[in-house]
Amino acid sequence: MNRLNDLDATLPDPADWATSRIPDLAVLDAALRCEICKDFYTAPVITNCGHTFCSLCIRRCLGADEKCATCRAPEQESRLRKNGAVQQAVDAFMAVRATLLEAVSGIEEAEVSGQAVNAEEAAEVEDEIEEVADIPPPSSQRRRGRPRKKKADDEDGDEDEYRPRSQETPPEPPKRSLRERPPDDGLVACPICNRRMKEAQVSLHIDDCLAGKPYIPPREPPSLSSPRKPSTLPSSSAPPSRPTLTQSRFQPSSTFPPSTAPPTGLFQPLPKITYSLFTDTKLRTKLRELGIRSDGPKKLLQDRHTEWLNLWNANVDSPRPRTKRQLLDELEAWERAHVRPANNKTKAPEWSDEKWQEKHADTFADLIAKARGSIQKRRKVEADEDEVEERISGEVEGAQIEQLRSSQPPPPNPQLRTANSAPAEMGSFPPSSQTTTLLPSSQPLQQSSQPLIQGPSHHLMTYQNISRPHHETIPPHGAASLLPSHSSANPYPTRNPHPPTNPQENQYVSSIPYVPGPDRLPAEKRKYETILDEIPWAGPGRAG
Amino acid sequence: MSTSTPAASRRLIKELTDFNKKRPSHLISLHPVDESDLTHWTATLRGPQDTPYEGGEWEIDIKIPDNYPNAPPLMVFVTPVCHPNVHPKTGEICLDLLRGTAWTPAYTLSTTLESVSQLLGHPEPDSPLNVDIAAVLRHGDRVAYDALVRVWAVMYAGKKGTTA
Repeated sequence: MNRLNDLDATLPDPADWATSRIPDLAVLDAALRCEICKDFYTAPVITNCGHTFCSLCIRRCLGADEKCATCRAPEQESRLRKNGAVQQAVDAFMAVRATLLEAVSGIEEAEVSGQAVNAEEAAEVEDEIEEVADIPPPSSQRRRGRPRKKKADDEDGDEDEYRPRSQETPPEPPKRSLRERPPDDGLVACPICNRRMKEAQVSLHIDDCLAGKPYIPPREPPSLSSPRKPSTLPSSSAPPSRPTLTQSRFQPSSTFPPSTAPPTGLFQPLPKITYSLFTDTKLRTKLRELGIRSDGPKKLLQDRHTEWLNLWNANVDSPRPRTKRQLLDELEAWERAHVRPANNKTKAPEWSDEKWQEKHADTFADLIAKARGSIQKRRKVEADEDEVEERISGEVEGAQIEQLRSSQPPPPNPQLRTANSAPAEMGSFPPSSQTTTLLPSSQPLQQSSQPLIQGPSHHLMTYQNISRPHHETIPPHGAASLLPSHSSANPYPTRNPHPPTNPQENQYVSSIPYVPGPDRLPAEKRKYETILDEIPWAGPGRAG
Repeated sequence: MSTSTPAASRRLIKELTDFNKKRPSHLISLHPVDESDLTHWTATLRGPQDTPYEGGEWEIDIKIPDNYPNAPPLMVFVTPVCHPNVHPKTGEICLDLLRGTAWTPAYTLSTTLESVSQLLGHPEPDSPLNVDIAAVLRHGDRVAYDALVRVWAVMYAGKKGTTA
């Protein structure tokens, strides 16, 4: 938006006249300005209620609220009509404004000021100066008077800006010939209209050119090598080779050719559409047909289409229509200014990763600490498990292991086992009738317990000795991992792995699963479940 | 730079130059907070004459919407003000112009602030944001109202207290 930089305090303002000898001219100045943009009318249109605005301004305004911007009377875009008289008045006033301002500003010597401005002009339009050395002062003022037409740093744009004016007034042959002279500017001339542009743009432009789109080439002086001119020139009746650009700027209003002359055949107003009747795809197709971008959500498509209609229809109202390319540029500018948030939903415009990190440093540190803690816990559990397994495998081996191997897998249901382990059975170890009824398969149990009964008493003793330390040293989780069938039956394996610390029960239960083979896998599995349980966010049902 | 459209930026700059040239009496200052961001302005309002607000200066914070001037600017009092139509805590102003119902693009920041200034002199106790002071006014206790306004103005808005 370097346009902002162009707009300094030298903007023409009605207040300029306040210090002049005719301060009342401020009223005239203000009367020729649009209420909405506070600038001189550009393509003025009149509403039904009799108020005049720039075409683009009032179209945008009606898009927001269908009321006249001055009197709030209901108004519709379709009822706007061109206001040619105001257009002429504005053109005429702007042509003399600078001169007039100087004339009434107290500085009497017109010649002196003329020279002064001449110098200014020299600085401003370097490449034109040779041709128009006798340039009268106000020309520069006029250009300044319409800063939106001014892109001094952009040669292409500059040319574009002036081109339309050549339709109503003579073209700018000197400028053209100047542009022709330095062919080493890296630009290429359009074979049809001879306008110079970047090479990449030419093919695109030729399409427009052939389609008779907005750009109407100037009638070049015969000296030019330009081969042909489009026959679609609407105002070809206008005198072809007329003076310089600067002279044209000073045509009094009476010589302004009818402002309605321009290419009405080329620019047709676009109709409004009812967006609710359009699906996404249809709307996209529509935008593509119009030659504008067709990406984005539907809301954006609608907004873009509306803005395009505004630009286009305002351009139709203009006596000096701009090219479609220029309109597209304008649409692009609108796009940048309007829809940035919608295009960039993931990150706020002023997003900064560093700031975010700073802001949430505490939370991050917390999370890291938690993660570390759980890793350590897990390691501890692993270590404990290993230790226990080692011990068990070391001690349980031997007398019992072969017998256990021959036995069936343990009863799957821990509840049964718990029921089985009533303290009353402490003394009488051989399974009671109660046990047999509770256990689904009494046969394996009897088989498995058989060796215990038959074996010498020291077997029993050693076994109790083994299992006791388990209870003391192994944390619940570790202990739980020693019970392979536990996890399959109990939905909450880590909850209460060892409810009653009954040595006998323990002895009984653990006597069965200490088969190395089948024990391994479930233990591993349970290890992960244990870890998951410690992570609060690991998932529902686990932590609960 | 700013998020406003070229048209909006252009108009805002115009308004700024216009203000600098005209210097309307109801405003002490009006300018963007930061030169590079035209969407955030600040203004200092002068208490209107012949009202208890006279002599005070109120700062107003102005946010320019993207679609300005087709939508009204958002204005809130930064300096606390005792007024039936101004929220005592947030500084929100109850003015149809700012609510969008009566807004038209023909208004400028300066003219809008002029309306705010007029609102100070012509409170509307029937649609209050500050219920307490509105109640005082509705009971017709003009003396109490004026006194309260003056106290707030002296406390917050730099109005000189009368040493009577």
